[in-house]
Amino acid sequence: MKILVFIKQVADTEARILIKSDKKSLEIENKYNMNFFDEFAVEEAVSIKEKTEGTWVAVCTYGSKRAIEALRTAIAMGADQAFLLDNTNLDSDDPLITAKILAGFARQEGFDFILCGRQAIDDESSNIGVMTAEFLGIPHVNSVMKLDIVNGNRALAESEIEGGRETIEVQLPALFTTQKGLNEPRVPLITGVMKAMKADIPLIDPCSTGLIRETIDTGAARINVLYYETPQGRPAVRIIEGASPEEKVKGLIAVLKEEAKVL
Amino acid sequence: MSKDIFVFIECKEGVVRKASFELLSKAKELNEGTSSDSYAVLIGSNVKHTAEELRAYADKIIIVDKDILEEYRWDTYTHVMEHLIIKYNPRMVFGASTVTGKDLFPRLAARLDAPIVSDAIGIVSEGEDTKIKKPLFGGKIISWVAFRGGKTAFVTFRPNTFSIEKKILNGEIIEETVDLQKDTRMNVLGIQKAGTNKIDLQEADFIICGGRGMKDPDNFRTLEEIADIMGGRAGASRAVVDAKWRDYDDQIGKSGKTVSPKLYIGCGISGALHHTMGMDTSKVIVAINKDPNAPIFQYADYGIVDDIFNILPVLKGELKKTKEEL
Amino acid sequence: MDFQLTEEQGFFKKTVADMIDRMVVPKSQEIDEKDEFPWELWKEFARLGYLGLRYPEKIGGLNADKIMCMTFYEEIARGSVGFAQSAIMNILMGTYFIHRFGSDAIKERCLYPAMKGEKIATMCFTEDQSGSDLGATRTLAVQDGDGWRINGTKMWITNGPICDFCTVLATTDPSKGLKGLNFYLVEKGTPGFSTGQIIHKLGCRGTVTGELVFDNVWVPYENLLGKEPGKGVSYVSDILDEVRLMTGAMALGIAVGAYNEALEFARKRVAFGQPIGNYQLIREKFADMDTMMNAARLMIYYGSWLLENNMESRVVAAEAKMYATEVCLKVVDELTRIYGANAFAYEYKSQRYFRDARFLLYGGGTHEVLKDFIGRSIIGKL
Repeated sequence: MKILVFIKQVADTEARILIKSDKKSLEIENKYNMNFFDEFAVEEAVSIKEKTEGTWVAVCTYGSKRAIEALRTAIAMGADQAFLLDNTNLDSDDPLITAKILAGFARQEGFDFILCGRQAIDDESSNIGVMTAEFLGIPHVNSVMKLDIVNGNRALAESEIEGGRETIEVQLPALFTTQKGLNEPRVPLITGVMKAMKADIPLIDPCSTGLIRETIDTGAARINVLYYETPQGRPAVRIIEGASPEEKVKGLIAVLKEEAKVL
Repeated sequence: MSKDIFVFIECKEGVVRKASFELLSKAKELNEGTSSDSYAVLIGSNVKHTAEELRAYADKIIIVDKDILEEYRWDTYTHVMEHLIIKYNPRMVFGASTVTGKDLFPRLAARLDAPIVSDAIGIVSEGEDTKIKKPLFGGKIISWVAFRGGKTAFVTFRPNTFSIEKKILNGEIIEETVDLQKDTRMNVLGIQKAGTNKIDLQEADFIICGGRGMKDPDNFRTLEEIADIMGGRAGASRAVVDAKWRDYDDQIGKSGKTVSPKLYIGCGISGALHHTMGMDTSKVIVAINKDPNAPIFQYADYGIVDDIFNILPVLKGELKKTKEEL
Repeated sequence: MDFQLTEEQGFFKKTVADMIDRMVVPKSQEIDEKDEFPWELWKEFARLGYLGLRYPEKIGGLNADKIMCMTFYEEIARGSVGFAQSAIMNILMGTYFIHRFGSDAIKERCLYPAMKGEKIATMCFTEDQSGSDLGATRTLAVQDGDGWRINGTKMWITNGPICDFCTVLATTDPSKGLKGLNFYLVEKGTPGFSTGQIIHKLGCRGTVTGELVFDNVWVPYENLLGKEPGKGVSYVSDILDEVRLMTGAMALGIAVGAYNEALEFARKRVAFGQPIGNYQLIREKFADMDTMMNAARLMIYYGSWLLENNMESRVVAAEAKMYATEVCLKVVDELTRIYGANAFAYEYKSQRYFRDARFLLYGGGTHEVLKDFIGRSIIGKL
């Protein structure tokens, strides 16, 4: 059985981000990690591999060479192989393009099912997984919190839906996006770390998977960032003073009523 | 492509969600002074009476009413929406960035090879052009994006982004029908409803959130009582959910939900970045913490530096009084 | 000259840093407050395999090079100095002589379990009256039948009160000074071997440090760790550079932790209407700290490179340890100045860095002794 995992390397939540003077590009502090929700995808793939003989886990990402580090982390956790789909000269803000590229690779590589995080914490768009499933013509299940593979050809997934949970049986091939709670991502054993350090990670030109360059280059993007800005700051906090808790609370209610007008 | 705007309507237990009304209000506003229409698109089973609720908010209401559409599924709903969009060719389709929105919209956009901006928090028309406000990096950066290429474009917005303006419209109801079957590769075996009457965290106007400073799971009862008084919801920080004091459903932050209520009160919350990125777009933020150096005060509009166990009982009493006066 | 970590080394550093952030940092305050050995964390940590870092792959270790080791020491010290001391004792000092000189049976009993964290190792040099002055060692080992009889007391032994085995420095003839020194393996349960007083320390809490008492302890001949008696001190020299560089790496880790706290505080703390990071005198502190930390880092890694390449490293290792320690002490001091009154509260991390850093002054040799040694090496015998 072959499991494909898509991951994204994202800036650390603590990384400092500055808007460059042209307002059209960003300077991001060099602190990157594997996307939080993708960890659950890698962990699930490796857990399934450990329980099921003959399972192969391949991880890929569409990004720059910097993302190789995130791929190594996936190998350290137990993935068998990793691939970098090189975005040099192709980078755009259009999720359709990313999804087409991932689908192109998945088609070429072959898979029984695909796992990826439910959203990236840098843009919180939650598009890529579902879009890739559409391009591959396979079913998807979002926000999976439990996954059982039955007989290598179908899956029982428990997913988060509006106001509850749904248990769904899906025929493979399919794509599942992973939600927190699915599992506990492991801290890699040092044997995994050593293996990851030595791993050979090929760089793949997205066009080599059969995609036509004009459909995936920057010119094909149908979303354009006009400019960036920093969010409107709030003025410094106003501490409500008082001689007693009662006084403080009364003072707070007063400003919330009169000033902020939220009561 | 017409200049009309479609709004996908989401319902919860047969009642139209607040977020859908917000989007209808915005769509109407964007079309002000033009001849374009705002459409509410309502898909489901036995939805005719629900459509009546929408008449005051939309120029037109398209309903597709079939038994097979009773429960939301991406396969059936995508098929229906695809059919409608090809037929009507709107310039934009709006949806709420909810669990359903995140499931349906990307599938639909990819189906139609159409551009999509998700989880947006604003939209501005500048003549012929439209730009959309999208937060990045947990809200640290705002990007303004535009569409290119002249095809129908999709946008999902965070709940609580727009206010609801009831226009006195008299929306025309249009009944459409589409042939469809369920995708046989998927079979829903069961649905477990959460079984609570709790207001959705992302739609709540009032949230009172507890952190580790609450010291004990039992102390959350006071927060729930305050939330009930205010018609809102109690939330929780990651530390509290990890300690199993509260459900993951209550979690606000990077790995939980992003919320934007009118009033957010953080109790015993230190204000770590992974939490604040989930609530810092709230309209008014109040922090209660006995540590004057707690980072939460950097994000708050108002604060009380005191032990939450001294403040909360008083706060509950005062809020109750305030509500009774209204 | 390539000053960069290779991509692989960079990945190793990041992975270790992430692991420390997830597993150790969240527990570091509790470890310090309770001052009890964190057995659960130890087990979880041991499972990952880092305790075998230095030893060959063929015995289940990782064959890590010196750069990787220093990276590891730096990161774990940044997480929790107390925990780091115990872990590093198992990784390096407590097992070095066993690995090098122990018989197969001894390795089976001691080394391999220590690499898995199943046994706790330690090394005993210091005594009441002798620290840097090894020649003044009084613990006596006398040949007795086909073994050795050991008598004496060791002090300031990290892991001592909880160890399963220890490498003891003892003399066969005090009049011979350094030339009479040897290393012996003593295992828990050996009659006469017991724990004495436990020391309640100012810093590095969470690791159990104390006195070990050897009262007519008899060990078989093979427990002499070394090719022949009298070579003890030359073996110490072999490990000394690595221990000094390791201490320097720990100093760097503590400095990085303290520095990051200071930076975050300077960016957020408002005084007179603006963040204090805007004021020149605060900026000066960061300019100084960053300069010194960069210099310390380069020295530690230079020394490690020399060691890794079997080049002469004695002086550089001593200088690196000394300099990194002085830098660390400066950084933790500046942290408390930037923190203002908050530095005085147990609630904040700054006081822990401040206390923990003090041990660096004597671990690996006091600076007074080191400077004398370095100066003597430079000037030569006159």
